[in-house]
Amino acid sequence: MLEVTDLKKYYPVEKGFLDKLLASQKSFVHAVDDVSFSMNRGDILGLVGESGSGKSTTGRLCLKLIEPTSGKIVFDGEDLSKLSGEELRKFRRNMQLIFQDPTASLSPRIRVGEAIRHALSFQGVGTQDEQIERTRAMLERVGLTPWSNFYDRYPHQLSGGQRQRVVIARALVLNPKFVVADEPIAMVDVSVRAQILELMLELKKEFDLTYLFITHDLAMANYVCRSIAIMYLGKIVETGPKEEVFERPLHPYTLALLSSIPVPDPKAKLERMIPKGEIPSPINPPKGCRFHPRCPYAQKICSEREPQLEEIKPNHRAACFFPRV
Amino acid sequence: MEYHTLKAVVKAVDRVCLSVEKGETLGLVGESGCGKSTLGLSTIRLVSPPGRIVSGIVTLDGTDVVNCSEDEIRRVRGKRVGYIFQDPMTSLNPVKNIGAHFVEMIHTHEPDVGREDALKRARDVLERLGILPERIRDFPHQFSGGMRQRVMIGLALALDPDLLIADEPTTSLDVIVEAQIIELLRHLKESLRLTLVLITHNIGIVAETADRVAVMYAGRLAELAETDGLFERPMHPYTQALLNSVPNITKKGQVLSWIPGAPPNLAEPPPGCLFHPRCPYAFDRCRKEEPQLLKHNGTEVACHLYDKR
Amino acid sequence: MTRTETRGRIVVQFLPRVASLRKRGLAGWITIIGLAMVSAVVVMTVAAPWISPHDPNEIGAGPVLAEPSESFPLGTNHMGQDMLSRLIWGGSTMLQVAVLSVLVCLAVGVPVGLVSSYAGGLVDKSTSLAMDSIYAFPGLVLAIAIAAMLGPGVVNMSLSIAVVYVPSYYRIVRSQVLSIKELPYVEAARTLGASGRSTLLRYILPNVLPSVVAVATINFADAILTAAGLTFVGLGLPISTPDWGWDLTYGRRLLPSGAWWVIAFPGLMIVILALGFALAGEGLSELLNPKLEE
Repeated sequence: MLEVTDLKKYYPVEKGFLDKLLASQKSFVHAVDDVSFSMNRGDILGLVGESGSGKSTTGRLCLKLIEPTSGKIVFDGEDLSKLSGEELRKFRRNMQLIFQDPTASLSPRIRVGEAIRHALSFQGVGTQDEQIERTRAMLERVGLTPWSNFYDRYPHQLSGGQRQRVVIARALVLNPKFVVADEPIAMVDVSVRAQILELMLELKKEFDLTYLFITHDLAMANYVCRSIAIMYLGKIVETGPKEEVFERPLHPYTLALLSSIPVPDPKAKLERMIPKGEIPSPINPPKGCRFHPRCPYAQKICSEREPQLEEIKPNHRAACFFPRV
Repeated sequence: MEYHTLKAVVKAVDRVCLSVEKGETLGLVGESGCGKSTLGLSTIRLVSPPGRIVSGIVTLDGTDVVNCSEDEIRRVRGKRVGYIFQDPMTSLNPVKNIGAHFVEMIHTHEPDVGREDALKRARDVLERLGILPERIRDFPHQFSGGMRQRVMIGLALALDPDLLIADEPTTSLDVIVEAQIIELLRHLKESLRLTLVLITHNIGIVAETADRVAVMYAGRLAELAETDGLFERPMHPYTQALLNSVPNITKKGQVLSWIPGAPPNLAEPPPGCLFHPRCPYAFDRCRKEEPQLLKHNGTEVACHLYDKR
Repeated sequence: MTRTETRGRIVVQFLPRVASLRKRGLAGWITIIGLAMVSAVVVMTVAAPWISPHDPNEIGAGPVLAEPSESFPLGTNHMGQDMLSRLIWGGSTMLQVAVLSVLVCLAVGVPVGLVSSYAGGLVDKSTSLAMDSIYAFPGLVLAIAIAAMLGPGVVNMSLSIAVVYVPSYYRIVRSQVLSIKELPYVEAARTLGASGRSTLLRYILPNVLPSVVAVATINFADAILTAAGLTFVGLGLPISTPDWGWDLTYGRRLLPSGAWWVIAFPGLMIVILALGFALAGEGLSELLNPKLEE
């Protein structure tokens, strides 16, 4: 359904006037660097990474909310780079985004029911009455029943979890095929998160959706996703089915991530590999393998050549010269 | 302590009784709005109006913190209690370099310490925290998030306090950096025999670092137990539900549950036990009477299920 | 929804809330007081034909420079005109000018600000430059210059005042739009397939309006003071129109002879009207924020 090839997104670094005079070349933020992956209909792919990994940018590139610097995105047979203007606007009904911050992604001056109905109205679906009917049904479907209690409320009158449901309703009322969820539960209370996730899974079955989950929360990704792609500093370093990636990780960075998760079990013994240092700046990523300065298994070749994503075990790929098999 | 707002008196923290032993790490856990940060701030009287401490006693090794004078409380802050704030971005002064931060901190409490001595101490602390001592001349914006948090910890430790309170020290940090900071805290705990109160909503961190855990809900203490005991045999229904709603990557085939409803509006709290509207075991008494924190099998729980009186 | 519809909804929401103002504590009271002051002046002005005891322009209606007395409660000026009548009638032009100039500012400043900042790029840069140049001028000086060019009359006066204040509206709209543009809910509108126009009108404008209202109400006060200033220096209105600004001019000259009442009462009225708008503006900006609708 979705095929991404060699996607790149570089942002030019804004330089001050003096820097422009003195510096010789422009520098770029390598937000997304040669990312390739594909998704089939019905997949739930987790795009996992820390801040600066480029996962959010990748998600938005897939929805063409941002223009890629280079690379190709083919969605359901359509080359997204060929779409623009009115055509693109109409095409958007097929792919939607669930936002991270339920408060900031709803206009504080628009009533919740109206906000959902706007999705239908922007795409010219049905008459106003039909739109209202569908919105009401959608409100109930996401658990905000009875709809009459919620349709005319403002976002600030709802709890965080309820607001997130509104965001989900708004994204799904158009019956899109593909949904990118950007940290959908990060800003929701812990005790309510599972509820939102369950809702998203139910809706997936009902509407036959394909999800791209963007998150830094590995435990959540483990719970919800079927396949995982790990990103580091703009590159995908490992992909594979969830069980493979989380139980038999190949890339040292994946191993590091897994060891770093706080486990709510004081007796759990984890093999810990916590690397030193922090994520380097994406403006000047390290030469060769981007993880090599922090990798305890790095060897000379790692600083010279960049490893490509290769299939090391069936369906399990990693970009590393010395994968932990 | 209570917050007096224009609308009503909101009891942000109510009847919380806690004690921390020397050398122990206490984890203070709860979701947003449960009052844990307020509790932390009130131990050194840093709660800003309209909040105020209405009643209660906070004693630090015998000193009454609530009723002592402004001078005395200032001496307590920093010197005897170190506080690590949540957001290292906004807690550091962007126009002062790190060294200046330390000097200011040290001078406030030990004015006779010379500048050079203060800087030396700062360098020692930073080195122990994994920051190159030369960086003492750098400014906050030159540090990454994790480094800044280390600087904050360093500032809190600079005066060799008796007690360290860390308020959500890793919330704004990435997973790996978070693990580094937690490692650091654990290491310091052992090498300095630190007494630490760790305030967080992340149960996982608490499982790894705390000796004892206090679970708060809606301003009240729900449960207080040794860490191992709390995770193996959670007593309070809220604790149970909370543990069931946190994904554990080491557990295969875990089924997550959640708590229906939402935390109560503290301006109009429900009668009886504050958790009863969401509690699967609520019975008659829960709706009328607020439970007391009672000892039961080595833990302290505030729940009628364990109150056989 | 058309733009008028959005505005209509906001007005409708506002009316029932006036009643609940009292519950709002200090802010509510300030608004009530402000609105009361303004309404009093408006009512007085509207009722002028009926309540004014004399023709304000009638020269020699009473003795020259008479002190306040029973027959002339506010005294008379140097032409024997009844000050009370002049007071009652004098507010009319001032209010007209204030309302008209604010309307012009809204009609010009808001749309230009919206479009310019949303479009960005060269359009934005050049418009900002133009606006900043106007803004750099001291207000009254610019108003005087333009009024002198345009000549007298209520409309001309309103225009000169409007020109001075349009940049303020532009700037506040622009700064709001620039920050709102980056917010997730605007991105959400785009994701849903909203056109630029829809995004601007339905998502950005409603969130910009509260600050616009805040500026507009303070602007009323400014407009009144500037209008008084213009007539004070003799521009803007023909001599025969009863106006507080005129009375201030004369009143000032008459002060040395001890006729304090000629300047005092019109001056007081200007203060009341301007202050009333300022107070009402304070409270109104809070009112229009749905977050407080509880």
